[in-house]
Order: sequence, then structure tokens, then C-alpha cells
Amino acid sequence: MPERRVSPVAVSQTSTLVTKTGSWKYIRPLYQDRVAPCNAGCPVGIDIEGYMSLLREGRWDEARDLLLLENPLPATTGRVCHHPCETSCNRRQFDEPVSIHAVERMLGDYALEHPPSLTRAAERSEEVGIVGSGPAGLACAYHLARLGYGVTVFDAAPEPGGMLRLGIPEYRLPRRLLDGEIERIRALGVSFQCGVRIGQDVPWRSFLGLFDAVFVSTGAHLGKDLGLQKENVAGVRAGLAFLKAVNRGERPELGRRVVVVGGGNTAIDCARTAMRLGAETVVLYRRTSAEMPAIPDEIEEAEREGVQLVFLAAPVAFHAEDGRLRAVECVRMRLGDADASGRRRPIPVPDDRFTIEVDTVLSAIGENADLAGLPPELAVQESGVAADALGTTSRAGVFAGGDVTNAARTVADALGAGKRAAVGIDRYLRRLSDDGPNGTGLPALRFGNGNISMARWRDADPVHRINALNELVEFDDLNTSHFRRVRRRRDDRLSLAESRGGFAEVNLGLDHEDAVSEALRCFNCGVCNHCDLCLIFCPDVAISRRANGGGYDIALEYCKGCGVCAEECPRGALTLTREGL
Amino acid sequence: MREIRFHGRGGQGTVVASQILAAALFREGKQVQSFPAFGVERRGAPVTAFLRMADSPILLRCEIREPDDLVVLDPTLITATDVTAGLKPGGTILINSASSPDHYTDLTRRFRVATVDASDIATGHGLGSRTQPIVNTAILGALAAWSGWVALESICAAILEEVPKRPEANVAAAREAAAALRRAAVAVHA
Amino acid sequence: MKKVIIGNHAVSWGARLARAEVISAYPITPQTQVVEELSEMCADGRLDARFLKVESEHSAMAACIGASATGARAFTATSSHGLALMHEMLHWAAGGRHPIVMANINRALGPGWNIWTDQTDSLSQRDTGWVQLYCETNQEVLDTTIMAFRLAETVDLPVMIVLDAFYLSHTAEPVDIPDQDAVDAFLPRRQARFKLDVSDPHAFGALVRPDSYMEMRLQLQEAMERTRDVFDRVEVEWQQRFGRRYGAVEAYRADDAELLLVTSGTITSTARFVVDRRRERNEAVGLVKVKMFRPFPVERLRALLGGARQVAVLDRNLSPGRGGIFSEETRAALYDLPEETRPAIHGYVVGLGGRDVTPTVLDEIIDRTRASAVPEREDVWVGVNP
Repeated sequence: MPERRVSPVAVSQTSTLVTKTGSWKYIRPLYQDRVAPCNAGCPVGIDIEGYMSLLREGRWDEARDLLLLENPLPATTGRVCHHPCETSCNRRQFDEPVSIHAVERMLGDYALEHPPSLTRAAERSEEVGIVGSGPAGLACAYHLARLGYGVTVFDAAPEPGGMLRLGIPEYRLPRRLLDGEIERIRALGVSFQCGVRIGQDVPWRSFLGLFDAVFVSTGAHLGKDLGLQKENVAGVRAGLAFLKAVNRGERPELGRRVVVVGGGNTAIDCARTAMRLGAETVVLYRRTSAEMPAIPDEIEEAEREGVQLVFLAAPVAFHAEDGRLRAVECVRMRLGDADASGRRRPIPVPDDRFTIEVDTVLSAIGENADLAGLPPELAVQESGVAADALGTTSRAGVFAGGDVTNAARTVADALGAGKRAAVGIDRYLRRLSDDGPNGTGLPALRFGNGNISMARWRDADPVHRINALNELVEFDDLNTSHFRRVRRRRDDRLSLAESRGGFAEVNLGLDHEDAVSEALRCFNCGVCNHCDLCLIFCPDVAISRRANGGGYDIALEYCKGCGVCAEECPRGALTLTREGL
Repeated sequence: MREIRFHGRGGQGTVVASQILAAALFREGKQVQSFPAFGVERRGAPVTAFLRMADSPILLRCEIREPDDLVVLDPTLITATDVTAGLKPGGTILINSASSPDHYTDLTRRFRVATVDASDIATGHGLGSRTQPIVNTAILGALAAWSGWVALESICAAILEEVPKRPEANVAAAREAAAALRRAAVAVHA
Repeated sequence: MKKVIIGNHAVSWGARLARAEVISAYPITPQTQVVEELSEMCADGRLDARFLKVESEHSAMAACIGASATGARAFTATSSHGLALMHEMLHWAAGGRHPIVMANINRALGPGWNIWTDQTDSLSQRDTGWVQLYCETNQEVLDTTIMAFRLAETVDLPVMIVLDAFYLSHTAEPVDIPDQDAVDAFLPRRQARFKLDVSDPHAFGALVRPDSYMEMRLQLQEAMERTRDVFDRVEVEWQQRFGRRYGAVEAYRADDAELLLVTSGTITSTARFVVDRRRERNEAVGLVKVKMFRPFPVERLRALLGGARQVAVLDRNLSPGRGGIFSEETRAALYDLPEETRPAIHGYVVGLGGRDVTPTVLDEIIDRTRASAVPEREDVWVGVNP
């Protein structure tokens, strides 16, 4: 049959390639990786989204290496960190946050079982001395070593680890894990000099002269007094000193009833430890559970184990007989207006008092830094050493970080401060300006407004980024219709009897399969993980896969700016901008 | 042409029984057509299935109203429903029952009746559960022993072909049932 | 390989042997076993096809159209309300000249809610541009399913295979299942005339203005007209390879018949039985089975029915306000035959909603027709309770 002029079906006679629909658009898609809120919310500055993405693809070793690029102690933080990453997780607004701590813990344990060979920058001649081997000092030492420096860490205690070893009970952090993680740092060439108190055993003046730079991270070990009479009576003890004694292997005599005063992690640690030593334990806190600064999971565990929590109460007097504590008299409190910290101020209800018979009181209302033992001529602000974001102090070549400064007193904040100080020391020793090695300014090193990224500072990000934009992805930027609701896995726990009966680790984390399932719950906020939805939805077939899994190309001469790709992108890696901007 | 009607309850394998029998007869060179009563099936509800067999191609495509033979997979149906409706005078009835055929005097007066305890046999071979045995293969074995128009070996071969789960146990049940068939002592039929 | 299988599985076997590449369907009684079996075939690897679960029959057909547009061989199956829900997409499939094959299990439309056989569902889709082929046996269902792909892909039209609910769909009977190699030789991979191709992009389905629409429709009509001959050629080749042939229209003992029954679907079988009995009594009764409804085999029917004294058309369907649809079409096809050869056409409506059409019903129709000098003005309903 002769070919007709009209096609039997409605099909264009010419290729549609001649129709450059791109000329129609007044908005265009921006294909840019942005920053997940977990990364920005992590005080350590971990690329959480990045390792979740690698785990999704089963790339375990790379996930481990990415985690270790930013955090020297993941098996530790996976257990003891208060995980603000989960607070900022966008998934919280969808169902429940990803159990990031459990995934980190699994990867941290994996790193101990499958040790990586850690990359180091070219060796440098400068030597750095670090005073204090807590998380801040360990982080600073670790990152400096990986940047190529010679590092020596000093500590007054017989073993390194600072508060991780001295203060945190074994049932929260088994020591073999801490030892393993410190061993990994030692293997980088960091040397440890323990049992040496700088400023006492070695004068600061001569010590400072031995090193090209010094990092001070001596922590805060002086327990605050309750400010009550008879505080020196037998039976009233500082909580931190009690924890240190137990962690040294001592088993102090507490009597039958113990009252712990305070609401932070030290208080809860004291209570749970005292209970393990056989005492009936009560925690007195002057505010309510909502204001309690301790990690909620720890409070819950304490209650489960039988610790009694008494809120809105404070001790006002100790009653002693024969020089020995017999009872503590308390006053009821009520909550007034918010104070400077944003928490409501507790106000005593004058005539509402009660008395608790008690054998031991453990005070855990906070610790101060020992400013007397610091190098001379170091400026102090409030109750800590004055230091900027990179740890720079008033004295050239002396840096500080961790609890000895006015930073938030958490393990994660200390690790983050140590990392920033390592960058500060690197800049100082290499006489760099605010610009990083690749010309990016310091803000560009941060995950959004969060901590800085070592990957960026070293210009060695192992993750392929697409036109990375240092902008946070919020929940409203996501298209959650592409996600299913999946329950968050709960950590396994030791049985109550086993928990109370000793110091075995209580939180058993997640089994392997569940931890991987949690990694798969990650939205990968802001980072393209090649889900193909943009390609599938583009009505102009203007989006195509790049070779080698490198993301997508958008043919702008055909993209007519409909915005469907950005609308469908589940994770905010595609956004729209006005044409010509 | 011979027309057979099966009575059972949803879940007993009634429709499958008609299909296995069709396959067995087809192996013997017969033309066959089997179908369920057209409708909706529910577990426990009465189920009917049909089978036509002939030497030449079967042209009738309508329901079977006057069957030659009945196969009753559940004895409670005999009182619950009018199983013999349309059954040709002198037609045969094979009942899955622990009772002797002489127990069914109403039926033996008009029809030829045999029984077999297919439930017990099926249970013995682990087919279904004690409360809900799957009796279809057992009763087909008994049918082969009684009917004279289908061979036990054809039934067994068809079971191996048609039954996806535990075909050997089903064959064993059919063989046991063939041996256990009980004929009415007195055949008093019209 | 000969197996005793139900009609629904004959459909599944047909689609499998035809190597359908995309199957998209939504379950509905009495079609469910068709897709149940196909999904199992896809799951266990017996059939290398993409099985798409969808939320409705409208989506099922839309997915088939999309698949077919990429050059894939697409298949679906439905029934009754499912087919009705597809209606819009049926036009798109035909107008887009997509050679999709679909099995429709004839089932009545509600209300009254009824799952039993009735042809009104498929006949309601008469004007959508689909070829319609009605089947009488499970063997014919399997053979027609495979032939339908060959036919569809030759004329670029979608083809609907139609079979009766329960009388075929749920009835097991022996079917000769051909070898895959033989089917492959009969039905090679589809060579699409038009298809979506990102490396040679064209716009499909765009606005067609008055200056082109009629020409496109004319080509659709011409393709339909061509379908009659193409179907014959396809059947001849099928017969050469597999030894079976059905015909768009089949005459059964029609020679010298004074009265010819016109039937479709499974009523045909029972009618053969009745015709045989009448012939044994030397009555000049014969049968014409209509397999192809669209395109309507006008010339074939004129040739076969012309010359008979009486024709009785049996319709298991109803166009309310007119009557049986086959009788209406038959009357129109024979209207301009010369008066001396034009038979009197009697229309009978029977078996709606699955009512059994027994030899008794057919005998009544034959007797009643022979007793009538002229047909009733309206189709006569037989087997209706008082």
C-alpha cells in the first residue's frame, strides 16, 4: 500500500529533538547535594548521612573509613553519646528518628574487629604536646597524627582516656572497647605519657618549650560543693570521686541507703553504680524530669533498675550522729520563671520540708575545671579557659578545648573541640589564613552550621558530591510520599537481674540485621542516592544517568522548567531556581 | 456418556477431586469435561462439582441435572442437602463415612450405595488435619475400586500429576481406600 | 502435550507460549485464575515477563498501552465491570494502534450483581476499535490467544479474546498444548511499526486537528477490513503447523439446511448436539458459529446464511431497547440480499446472567422458529420464568 501522508497514529513526523523546549523555562532545576540535619547536629562533625548511604550499598569498609575520618572513638560514642543527631533527624517528623547511635556503635565495633589502615598525610616535622587524654585530647591527637604531626599525650592518671575511663561506669562503656580505640590512636604513632601531671611534675614553662604547639584539655574534675553545713561529715561524698574509685576497682562502703543529689549524667551514673553495690538509692533533683540534663535513656534505665527519683526537692541540712551522717533534710521546690539557661528556675517552698534517713549522700551537681593548674598567662573567661572555635587561646601556640573551656560538657562536644583544635593547630603551624587548603573559608568546612568536616579540611572527601551546597535540608524540603513508615528498632537490653547484679554492659545495641535496617531507614536528606525518581518523572526525558553511577545529567535545552523532578525528589537534592539568577 | 456429581464442603478438595478424576479418565482415552457448580465458594459451605465422560467429544455445555453417579465427600451433606436430586434410578452413591452402607437405608432402597472411611484414611496419611481432613484422593481410590469404569492406576497417576503437595501420601491414601471400600450387603434398588 | 485444564489456564498458557513481555492486570471473578497463573509463571521464571500490579482495570490497560508503545508484547485479562472500567483506555489502545491482546471472560454487568456468563460486557465495547474473537472450547481459547498476537501485530490493532464465564473459564477439559519452539516459529518477536525510543524521540498522542482526524480513522477502518483476510491467513498457517482451524465463521451441518441457528460461545457446543439429533431425524437444521464479531464477517455470513429459509440468531446478550446484538448485526448484514435468497431472521434472547441454555431450550427455539411463518417484530426471550 502506498504510504499515506497522514500517519495512522498520532506521531510527530520529525524528531522531537528539534523542539528545544528548554527555551520555555523560567525556572530551572538545581541538582545539588545539600547537608543532612544529622550531620549538622553532630557535635563531633560526622558525615552520618554519608556512612548511612555507604551502608545502604553494602560498602562496609568505606562506611567505617568515612566514620573514622571524623570520629576517633565511634564504639565509644555509639554507646555514651547523647546523640543530638537523632534529635535533629528529619525522620523524627515522619515516624521516629533513625537509631543513629546504634548504627554508629555497630560500625565502631566493626572497625575494632576489622581494623582499617588509616590514611595519614605526608609526615611533618612539628611536634605537638597534648595535656589531658580525655575525648578532647584524644581527638586532637588522632587528627593531628593523621595530618602528619608528631604527637605526645600527657595525663596525670595512670592510663589514658580521661573522664571516659575515670567517670563513666563500666556497664555503659566496657573498657576493652575504650582500650581498643585508644590503641588505634597509639598505632598512628601517638605516644602517651601517663602518670605525669604537667605544671606539677614538669613546670609549664619548660613543657611549653618542648613543643611547637600545645593543646590543653585537662577537663573538669573538681566536684562542686553543695554549700551546706556538715558537708565534711563522714558519709557525704563527691559523686565523681565515688565513680572514679569504683572505676579503679574499689568498692566503697555506702551503707544501706544512698541519696544522690543532682540531675546530670554523673548523678544517674552514681545512682546506678550505688545500686549495683547493694544500696537503696534515691536521686534528689530540684527540678522536674523534663529539665533533667541526663540522657533520657539513662534515666529510664535507672528507674527500671529500681533507682527512685524524687523531683522538686533539694537538700538543706545534714543530720549526723557521732560524726556520721544519719539523715538529710530536704525542702520542696516549685518551678519559677526561666533562668539564663532557658530552664525554669527552682524556688524553695519554705515550710515544706521532709527528711530522708540515709547512710551516704553523693553530690553530683556539676564539676569545675581546675584553673589553678593551667599554664600561666592563659586568659580565663567565666569558669573556663577562653578559647575560640579552633581552640586558639590568648597565648600563641597554646590551644585548649573540652571541659576545661566553657564548652558544653559532653563527650561529643569534647571530641568536636579536639578536632577543631587539630585544624587550628594545623593552620597555626602551617601559617595558613582562614582559607582551607582548597581555598574554602572556614564556614565552608562546617556541615551547615555544625562542626567542621575533616574530609573537607583535608580536601579528601571519599564521597562523591554533586555541586555540594552547604545548606541544611529541612523536613519540608523532603517528599515523604516516597517513604514507608517503618518502626525504629529498640536497643536490646540486658535482663534486669543481670543489670543489677554487676557491671556488665546493659545496652546491647542492635543485632546486625536490625542495625542495617536502621541504616536503610535513613532518608539520605539532601544527598542524591541515585533513586531514579527524577528520571522517571521527568516528562521531557531531559534527565539521564551519568556513566559510572555519577548521578544525573539534566539536558537544560529540553528541560522546560516544570519542576516535577524537584517536586518528586524525596530528599531535597533537586531544588528550583529562577532562570537567570 | 456418563455424568458424575461430587458433593463436598469448601476445603475438602471437591473441585480438585473432579479434576483428578477427569485427568485419570483422560489418561484412559476418554473425553472429559469437569467443572464446579458455578458460583462462589466458601470454606465449610456445601460445594458441588461435576464431570462428564464419553468416548466421543463432549458437546453438551450445560449443567448436569440427572447424574449417573454421586460421590459424597462429607456424610453430613446427606441429611443437610438433597444430594440425590436428579440422580438416575439405580444410580450409584459413594459416601465418605465410617458407617456401613446399610446404615443409609433411605438410599439403599433406591440406589446402589458404598461407603469408605476416607476421613480416617486421609488423616492416617497426614492429609489435612484431624478436624479437616482432605479426603478427595482417598475417596477417588475407593471410587476406582467400586466403579469399574476407572482404573486405580489411572487415579494414582493422575494424583501424581495434579496434586502439587505430598503426591505420594495422596496416592497411598487412594490405594488404602480402594482396599477399604464397603459395599451394601443388600442391594435393594429399583 | 495434552493436559486437562480449565479455560482460564488455557488463556494463561496462551499468553505464556506467546511470550508476552508485559502483563498488567487487576483480578476480578471469573478472570482471577488467568492472572493468578500468569503471576506464578512470572514469579517462578517459566515466563520472562514484567508483571505489573495495578490499582484498577483502567490502569491495567493504561500500563499495557505504555508497554506496547515501547514495542513490548502486552497482555491483560478482565471481565464485566473491569472491562467497563477500561472503556476509555480501550479507545486509546485502538486509536494508538497498539497490538495489545486481552482476554475477556464474559460476565454479566450488575446490578443485579451477577458473576455468571453474559456477552453484554464485551459487546458493549463494540465501537472501540478492538478485534473481537469469541471461543467455544478451551483448545480454541489457547489457540486463539496465540493467534491473536500474530493478528494484532500484523494489522496494528488490539485483539480481545472472549470466553464464557464458568462454561469455559472454570471448566476443565483436554487441551493440546503446543511446544514452545513451534509457537516461536509461528510467532516471532514483535517488530513494532511505531514505538517510543529515546534515541529517536517523537511526540505521540498529540492533538490531531480536523484536517487529519478523518484520515486516521479511515486507516483504522481499513485495518479492520483487512483483519478478515489477515485472520484467515493466520489461521491457515496455524492449521499447517498445529492441525487446527476455527474460522471467523464456521458452518456446521449447514448444507441444504432450511433452518440455520446462529450462535457464539459455548452455546454453540450444545447447539451442535441438538443439530446432530435433528439431523438424525432428517430435519434440515444446521448451525453457523460466529467467532469473529469485530470486524463483523458480513460477506461470510451472507454467503452461508443466504439461501436458507429461516435463520434463528441466539443472543446471550442484550442491547436494552433493541434486543440481541448478534441478531441485529446479522439482520443488517443480510438486509440487501436479493429477496429470493434472504432468509427470515428470528432473534432469540437466551441465557442472560448465566442461565443454563440446555438442549431443551434449543429445541424450543427450533420448534418455535419452524412454526413461525414470519419472525416476531422483537426478539423472543426463551427460558424466562413466568
